[in-house]
Amino acid sequence: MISSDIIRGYNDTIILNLLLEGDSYGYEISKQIRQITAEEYVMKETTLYSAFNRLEKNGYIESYDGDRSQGNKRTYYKITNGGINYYRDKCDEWRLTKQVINKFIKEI
Amino acid sequence: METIINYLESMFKRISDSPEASRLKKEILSNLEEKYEELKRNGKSEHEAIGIIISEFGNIDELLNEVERDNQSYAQSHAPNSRSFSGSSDTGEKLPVISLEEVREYLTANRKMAQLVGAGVFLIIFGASLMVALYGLMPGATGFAQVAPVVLLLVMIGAAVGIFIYSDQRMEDYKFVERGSFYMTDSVKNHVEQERKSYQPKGLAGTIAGVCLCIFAPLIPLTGYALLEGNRYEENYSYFIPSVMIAVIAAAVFILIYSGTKSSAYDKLLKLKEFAVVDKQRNKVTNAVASIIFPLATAIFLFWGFVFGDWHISWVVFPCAGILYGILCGVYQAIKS
Repeated sequence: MISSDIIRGYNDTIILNLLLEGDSYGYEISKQIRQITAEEYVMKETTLYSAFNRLEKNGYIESYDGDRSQGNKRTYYKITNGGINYYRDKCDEWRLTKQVINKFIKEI
Repeated sequence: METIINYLESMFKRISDSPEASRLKKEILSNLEEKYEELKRNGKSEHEAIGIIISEFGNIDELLNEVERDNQSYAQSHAPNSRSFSGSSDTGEKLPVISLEEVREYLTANRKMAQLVGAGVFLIIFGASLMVALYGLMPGATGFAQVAPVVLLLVMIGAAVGIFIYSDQRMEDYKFVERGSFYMTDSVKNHVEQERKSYQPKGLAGTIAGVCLCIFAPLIPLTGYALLEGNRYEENYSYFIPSVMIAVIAAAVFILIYSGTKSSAYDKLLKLKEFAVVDKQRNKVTNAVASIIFPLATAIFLFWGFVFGDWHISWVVFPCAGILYGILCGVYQAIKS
């Protein structure tokens, strides 16, 4: 299990990546992260929702009310153009980070 | 699931009330519900499911930072001018939070205002009543006695206007309530809702009493004149009858204003009926339209009357303006939805 300190800078990126596939909501995103990482990373609820909050405040995602099967309203999120640009920047940042760190990683 | 709800509630105690926090809590709960259902479906027992959900919940401080970041601190100050700000309206403005204390102050001030305004209007109408009575008392008087009744009425009107200005000044601090520019937490809202419910029967009684008095008022001249026929004091008393009727109407109007003002205070606080937020945007537009159409109609009416002298036709401008206003509002509503 990855520690949340390590992954902190990229929670937003992970969420935006999933929203690029299509609009989604809290639990579905959390489930997808767990499945895609094969349980290596399980994002805490508080982390997830504070990320949504932050992303929305910065205008990277938009929320709207959608229906769930039992008829209640559920909050759906969609990525905005600003979010797409931010995602690209974070991807570039990660590639650079990976390159830099890899220089210091070796087999011993 | 009960356990999870309680867990969420206790976690959220650390976060101060605001519309944002409420909405977040609902959203998280809804998602936790789904997670719980899925865990059960995959064969987990109740205990296991709850355990998993709680252990994967995380640290509430993370949310605290996010939700509170834009909120300034809650200084519990009683001075109306130094409000604490929290929460936001649909347009994203920061609205002051109204405390229960301030609600009580507003209701007290509103009640006094209701009494004052009611008393002012009563004075005016009652002044008219006295004026009529005085004419009855002194038929054929000359000099000052002739104008005394009018003077009396003017004095009453002056006093009433003074009262109106005074009471308006006293409500100055609460203008934000009138405008609806405030946010109310759920706990305060419950208190207000309860008070509104307990006031409702009194308000209804007031409205019924006022309306009944108005309906019965014409009975006074009807029976009065019938009784007076043939009475040798007919000449003198005939002025008292309309006077009494007007006085009764004055009392009815006072009751209506008083109970009506008190009722609408609750509507304003709870943003019901015409104070509902949903209608606000529409009200802005309809008010703007009204403030153009009706003065324009008045201008056309006056111009037509003075220039062409056709007052007996020009009045038709007003019903036309009313219809046009209705059409424009209808069109706006159709476009909006």
